[in-house]
Amino acid sequence: MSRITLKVNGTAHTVDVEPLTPLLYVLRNDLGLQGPRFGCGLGQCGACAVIINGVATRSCVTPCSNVRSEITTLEGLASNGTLHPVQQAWIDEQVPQCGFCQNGQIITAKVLLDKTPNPTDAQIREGMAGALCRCMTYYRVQAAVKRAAVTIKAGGAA
Amino acid sequence: MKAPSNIPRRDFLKGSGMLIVGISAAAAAGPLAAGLPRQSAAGATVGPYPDPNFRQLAAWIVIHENNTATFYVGKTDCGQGTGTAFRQMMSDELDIAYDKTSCVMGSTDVTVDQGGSGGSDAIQTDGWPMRRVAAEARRVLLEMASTKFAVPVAELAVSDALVTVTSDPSKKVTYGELIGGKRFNVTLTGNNVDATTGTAKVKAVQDLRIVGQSPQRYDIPAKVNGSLKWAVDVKLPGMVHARNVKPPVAGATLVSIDESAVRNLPGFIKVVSKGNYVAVVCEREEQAIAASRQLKVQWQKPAASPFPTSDDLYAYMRSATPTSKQGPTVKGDPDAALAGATTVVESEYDMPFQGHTAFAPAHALADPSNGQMTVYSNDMKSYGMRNGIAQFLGMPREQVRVVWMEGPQGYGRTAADDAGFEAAYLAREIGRPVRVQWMRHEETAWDTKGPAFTFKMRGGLDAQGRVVALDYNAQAADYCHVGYNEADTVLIAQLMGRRRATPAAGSAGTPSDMYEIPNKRTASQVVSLPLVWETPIRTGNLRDPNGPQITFAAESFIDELAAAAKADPVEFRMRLLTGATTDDSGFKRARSIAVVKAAAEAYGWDPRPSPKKIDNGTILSGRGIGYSYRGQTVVAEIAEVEVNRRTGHVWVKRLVCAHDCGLVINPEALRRTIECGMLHSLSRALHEEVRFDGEKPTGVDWITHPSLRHTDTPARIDVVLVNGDPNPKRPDLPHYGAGETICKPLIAAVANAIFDATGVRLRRVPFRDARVLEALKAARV
Repeated sequence: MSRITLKVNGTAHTVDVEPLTPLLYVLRNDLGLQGPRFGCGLGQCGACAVIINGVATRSCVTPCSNVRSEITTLEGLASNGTLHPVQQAWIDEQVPQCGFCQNGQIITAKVLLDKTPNPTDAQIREGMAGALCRCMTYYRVQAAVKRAAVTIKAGGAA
Repeated sequence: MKAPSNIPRRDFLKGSGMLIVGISAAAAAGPLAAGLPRQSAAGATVGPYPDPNFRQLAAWIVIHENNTATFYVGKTDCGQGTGTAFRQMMSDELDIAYDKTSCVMGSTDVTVDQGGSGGSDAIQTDGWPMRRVAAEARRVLLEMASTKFAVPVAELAVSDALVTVTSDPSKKVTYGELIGGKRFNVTLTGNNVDATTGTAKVKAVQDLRIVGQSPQRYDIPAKVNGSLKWAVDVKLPGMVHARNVKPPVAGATLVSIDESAVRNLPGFIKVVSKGNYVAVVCEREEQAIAASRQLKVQWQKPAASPFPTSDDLYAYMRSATPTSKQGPTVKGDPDAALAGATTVVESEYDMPFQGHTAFAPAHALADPSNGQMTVYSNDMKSYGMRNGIAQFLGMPREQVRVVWMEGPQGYGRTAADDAGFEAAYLAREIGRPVRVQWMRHEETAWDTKGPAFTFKMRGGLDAQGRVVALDYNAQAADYCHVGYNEADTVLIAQLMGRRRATPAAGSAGTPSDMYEIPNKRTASQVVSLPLVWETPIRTGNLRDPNGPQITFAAESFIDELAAAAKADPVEFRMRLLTGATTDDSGFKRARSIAVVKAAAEAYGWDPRPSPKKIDNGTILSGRGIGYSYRGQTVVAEIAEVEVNRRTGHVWVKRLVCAHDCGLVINPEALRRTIECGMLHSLSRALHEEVRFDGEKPTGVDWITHPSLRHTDTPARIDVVLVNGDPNPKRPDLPHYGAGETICKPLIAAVANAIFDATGVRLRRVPFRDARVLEALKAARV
């Protein structure tokens, strides 16, 4: 075991774990975060996605000792009690069915829009392709991404 | 309900069978009478956990002093927003604003046993007792107000949980004030929970105000801001983590376990094994994962191959001796009609095993504290899980409770059942709360599957292109179909050798349509794979258990007949639907005609025979329709496809669904359920197949077992909510189960569209690129 310090959603935490422990288990089991979730443990589905250095990172295959930069999780997207425009768009479009994958959908969409503020339909489809959903909410996810892009462009907090 | 003014109230209440008068309807004894759990001084429930009594109003509805209401219902929400729908229905009957209500679902100690989810029955069946008890609560509250103001109920008005005296609006009282923080003490009647009723009548459809609106689903904000506590999120003091070690091949038997490789791992607690069930328990989750990978287990492969390869499956099924037969059901003389037909069409179709493949692998947390067993689970049938675990562990039911919490999509009998039993068994073995979760490869390989089917169909047309005969034969590999939460069929029981003597027979089934065909035979058989128990190729209900398979064959074949008759596929179906005028009590024929028309109109269907004229382009486009029903919910779906003739890739560019489920509770939530249900079937049409070699599944993750992705999403989906009832204003317009029917016709609609685009008929699912390309090349397209 070794002591590892992680900065998550603006707060530093020190945990005592094996260095190769996937970040996901530290976030969930040591820090009590519920946004990132286990889906495959293989980096294939996106359920565990968090944002590190502006990249949607698969925390289930990221050793916690490798993480040097701040981690943003689903819980950290809102600012001052106001949902991120992507989250608000998800509510406005009533996107989720069961909702279990939506962490991956929302984190992936947020990163996509940070890099590509005015995505084409093709860019949305390709950019979101790594985020799986077994309820198949894709159609509404894509509508919500477009809605969020409009909100952000109009000056909504990003 | 109005109390007749010429009868003294006390006598009226006696006459109505209710042994309550005025304010005594609310009593402190309510919670106990309702069977609600005892609570410790600290407020924590300590057990035992008697069944909430569905014949007590207090078990269903609590009115709080702040004039809000909580509804307790014995259902679970698999993500379609049924909880929101229940609140709408009950708020409407109670006359309280939707926003003042909340809903508690599916935890066996606090909600009556309505069976959890399944069969798309939440609104259709369970919605009725919910409406009736809410109407009864309204009646009782009005009686209480009547006593308070000493005026007949008929002279009271109620709106949004506020009762007013009609002649003197200054006299008013809220529900919360009337009940004063107490619980109802009102006995209901009914032989079973579905029949639960008071004496109040539910409102006529025309009087419903909240039903038919689309309040946003209450569960969604917490799902997008990360605050929802899911079943995967429960943490308990002293909890530990377990992972299973499954047999490497189907039917393997355990020879020995060498713990030396894991004994000194950090956090190691114990290897638990019995029969062929093996699990490792550690303090931390990642430790349990590592230990389960490093544990050395020696297995003996079975002497005989447990199943054919997935490539050989259909040949195997066609030559297998059936374990059971259904039918034949014969109308007219199909053989003579086929012999005399001008044109005879014969086709065979194949559907593979397809998995639920839950987005998160099966999981549960079991707590053995206080001599009780509490299981935190997302299993959609929490009540069955409670009973099954009690039986499995030999515990009294009252000592077991299942707390239902949200989880990944259910859509039938998933491995969530199995994980609950495993967690409970391990918790008892360890004596601490144990959380178990399957890994991705376990879930994809060992989850229950929708059964594989083969079909053989023959149809005859006369010289005018009319269908004179249809002969349908189906075979399903469905022997030993696994039920829900049965203590002798869950996987841990099988692996421990606790299995029932006679496996479930399984079923195949026949098409659901209102086509009028004069000579018809339908028959089906069930066949068994060689290995029956302890196999990952095990079947369980998957979202309309056999409907997508059967409708793929049936609606593809109707299209083949239409093509043989050189008829437009919609017009051809309309002729079959209008070939008789007899209808059932739910007007299913009239409503079938209405949805087919509505789908064609919404799509902008241009009548012509399929296939269309094929041009020289790389992208070939076409459209196809499928229609079916389940119970009284009828749907017609149209797919528009683009087929790449160089790669074989199929993109379904547009989907249309015309849907009639009777009274719609929440149109916007229903639209999304329809969109997603169609895309689930699209995933089954394009991607999903359980692949296996002769001893194990070979699809173990999202690469080797692909699923629909964002890149497959149609550019446009149109949903038309049809009310095909000939008398939409009738006061009792029922609400039917909306969900599973959606999944039935879509695969055929896609196959029919591919035929329209290319002239190539695909008779085996899924339509992956390589298979489509091979078929195009074979047909020289």
